[in-house]
Amino acid sequence: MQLCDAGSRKNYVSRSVLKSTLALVVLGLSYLAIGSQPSYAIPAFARKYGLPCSACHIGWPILNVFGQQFRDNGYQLGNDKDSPIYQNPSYWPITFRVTPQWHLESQTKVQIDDPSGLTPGTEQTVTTHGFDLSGLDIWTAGTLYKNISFSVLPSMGEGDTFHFENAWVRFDNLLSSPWLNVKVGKFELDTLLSEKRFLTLSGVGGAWINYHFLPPMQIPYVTDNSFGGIGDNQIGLEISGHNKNSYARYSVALLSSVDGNPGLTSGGQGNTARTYDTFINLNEGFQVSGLGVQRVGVFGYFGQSPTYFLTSGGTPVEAKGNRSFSRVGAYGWWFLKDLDIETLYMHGQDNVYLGNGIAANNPGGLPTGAAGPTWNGGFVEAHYTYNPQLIFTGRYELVHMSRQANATLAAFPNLGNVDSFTIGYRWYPIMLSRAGLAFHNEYSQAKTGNTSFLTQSDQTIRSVMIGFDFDY
Amino acid sequence: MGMLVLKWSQVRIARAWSLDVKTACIWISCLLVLFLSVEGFSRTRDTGAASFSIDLDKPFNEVLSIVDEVARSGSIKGTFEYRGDEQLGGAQFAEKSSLFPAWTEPGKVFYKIRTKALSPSHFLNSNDVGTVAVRYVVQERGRNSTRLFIDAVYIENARHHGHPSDGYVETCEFGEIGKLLKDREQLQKLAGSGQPLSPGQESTSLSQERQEEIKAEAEKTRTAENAKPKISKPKGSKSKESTPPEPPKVAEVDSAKLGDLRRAIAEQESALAADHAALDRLETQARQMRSSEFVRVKSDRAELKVLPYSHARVVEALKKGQEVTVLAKSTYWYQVRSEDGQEGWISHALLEVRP
Repeated sequence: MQLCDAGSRKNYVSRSVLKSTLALVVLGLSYLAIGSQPSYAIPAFARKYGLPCSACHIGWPILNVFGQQFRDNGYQLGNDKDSPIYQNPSYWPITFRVTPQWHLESQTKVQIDDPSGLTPGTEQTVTTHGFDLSGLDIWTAGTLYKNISFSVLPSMGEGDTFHFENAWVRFDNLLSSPWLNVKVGKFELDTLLSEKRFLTLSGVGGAWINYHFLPPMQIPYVTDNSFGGIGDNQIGLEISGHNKNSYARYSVALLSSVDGNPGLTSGGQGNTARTYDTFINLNEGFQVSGLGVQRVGVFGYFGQSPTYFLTSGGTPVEAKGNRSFSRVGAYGWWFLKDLDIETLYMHGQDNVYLGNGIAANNPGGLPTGAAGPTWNGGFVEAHYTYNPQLIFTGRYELVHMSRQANATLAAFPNLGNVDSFTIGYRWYPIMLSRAGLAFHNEYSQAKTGNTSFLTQSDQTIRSVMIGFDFDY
Repeated sequence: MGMLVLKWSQVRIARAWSLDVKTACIWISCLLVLFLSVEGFSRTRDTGAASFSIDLDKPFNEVLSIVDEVARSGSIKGTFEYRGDEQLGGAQFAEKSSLFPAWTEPGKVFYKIRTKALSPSHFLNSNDVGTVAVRYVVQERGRNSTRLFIDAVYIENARHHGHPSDGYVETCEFGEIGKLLKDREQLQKLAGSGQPLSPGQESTSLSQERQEEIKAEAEKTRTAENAKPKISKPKGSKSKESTPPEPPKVAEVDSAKLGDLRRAIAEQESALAADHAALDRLETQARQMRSSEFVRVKSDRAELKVLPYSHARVVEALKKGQEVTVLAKSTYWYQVRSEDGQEGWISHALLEVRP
């Protein structure tokens, strides 16, 4: 066993570079594989209880107040309908979801190789479009026993192997109190503004940038922090609680620093993890006469990522040089009758070693003017529920760097900045306890600062998506 | 701290919202137009319509007592939370409710309230958890005429969103009232008097036990009336105890006059009753002229149905242009009487006002 030398460190950085280059990390071109962020809804619950979808959803998959309460209560109504005697023995709590679609993706200033290979090439807009499929979600959730709930969601894209989007068991209402619940496994962080339940699915609009943003480490755009963002499901243990109507809620989670990857995978290396992250969320709802319930909350993610590894025979065996990062913010969910508006502000910071991709045992490698990068971001997203079968949505989101990782990067005024908007609507011709079908139409675009490979100028990415999102 | 503040000067919203927004808007608009043209796309956006109303040929007090009883029944008909249920239990009687605007017109108002209702059926775009309220208004229209209004609404707790009923709740609630009115009528016939039942009998329970009880009371009343001493004793009675004292001769003369007077009074009472009957008929006709609309079928495929439901059994097919009389209205359905006397429900979309 030995410490990684500089060469090993370089290899690690190279892996990071390979992992993130061309993906334009910020905007998650990784999300161009449409539907990689499944949003949840489970007609199986409606079947189980004989309730309409509208009991829990403003519009699938956004939860209404009762839906949140039902979820917080461990998928239990809290009345005698939870009893097995009311349930059909052949009931099978499982839901399939897939989204056949046509979509268009366009990106400006993409480097085009010179066929001769002698020059760096040119930049031009690249547009692709066609019919496609999302990944497949097979979700099962419910109760194993009174006050013991579970969820398992195997998911896969076309040609991919299955992975667990989530898999957890939760012990509900401990000490007969809704204020004490314990969940263990891989789960969505308790973000009231849930990225798993929002209405946008396109390549650019299919993720909240703030939930996944990582600051640039160098030009062209490369990042080093292996944390995928608070939008990623994480593995750990969560203690949570809520009052009777779920207006007041809290959660504290202790998470392995593995970004939700099983196998103690830290920094992309299996069986190396040895540190933990913490996520805290507090929110409160209050009634405003004539308007409805308004919700406000604060959250914070405090984590660590490795900067190098101990290796044995060239194989990483332990993540070392873990350095901190944090994401803190506040949010509100404002209801004005049929219009609801979600607002979020977030501040992020990465440690100087993470921000510059330098091993923590090599402080001399830090470039001139090195500093921990910081940034601020936020979004405003509105939903207008014309009726439960037709919902319009629009979002404006931005992330702006407030401090670059070093002096070289600081020379690029827009580097890392993102300005994005998304508009669309969902029409639900079928929304029944046995199935749901939504016609989805969305346009989204984002402008990313100084990300073009050749000229380091701004790029624009656009997505159009027309599809049928259905579950059964 | 300065680091925490967004550099808003760097925000280039205007640039982002330029040509691309126009392209996006055109794109979305085109598709919207396409789908809005599809029938049914916007069908669920409906604010509901007028309340259920009906004129009943029953005395005000009788209708009032029945409505009061239904308002206290503890369940709301025509809506449910869980599939398989037929009604919404746990409802409470109330004399006031903030879920409806104050009733300023004449009439007695009752409410039936069910809190914590979970997305109850038959309320338009029902969602989340909230309160269901049914309002009954009983108005006196004449000596033997009463108008009844029924409204039902569901209000979400969280968004305070109001969802009017699709009309089925009111129809079912009236169905319950109508059933009780019929039961009352039958019990009155059983009682044999044809008069309104005593206050003790007004609580027209449908239970067999109660019906038996009322029958027994009616029988007891008749027996008691038979047992009463007669005012005019039949001549030739030999009973000593009941033999009246010998009347004076003057009294015999007066008795003859009294007989004449009684006959005159009876004739006048008979004439008065005839006048009352004529007045009732006129009132009914006037009421029909006033409130019953004569409408005409405007569709070739109009069907009169047993209940206000698309899949309800068909009473008869109506022809285009055929005139019908409106008896009651709910949100989307009218109860009508056809020219051949058949009564049933028809969607108001199939009717037009007669010119």
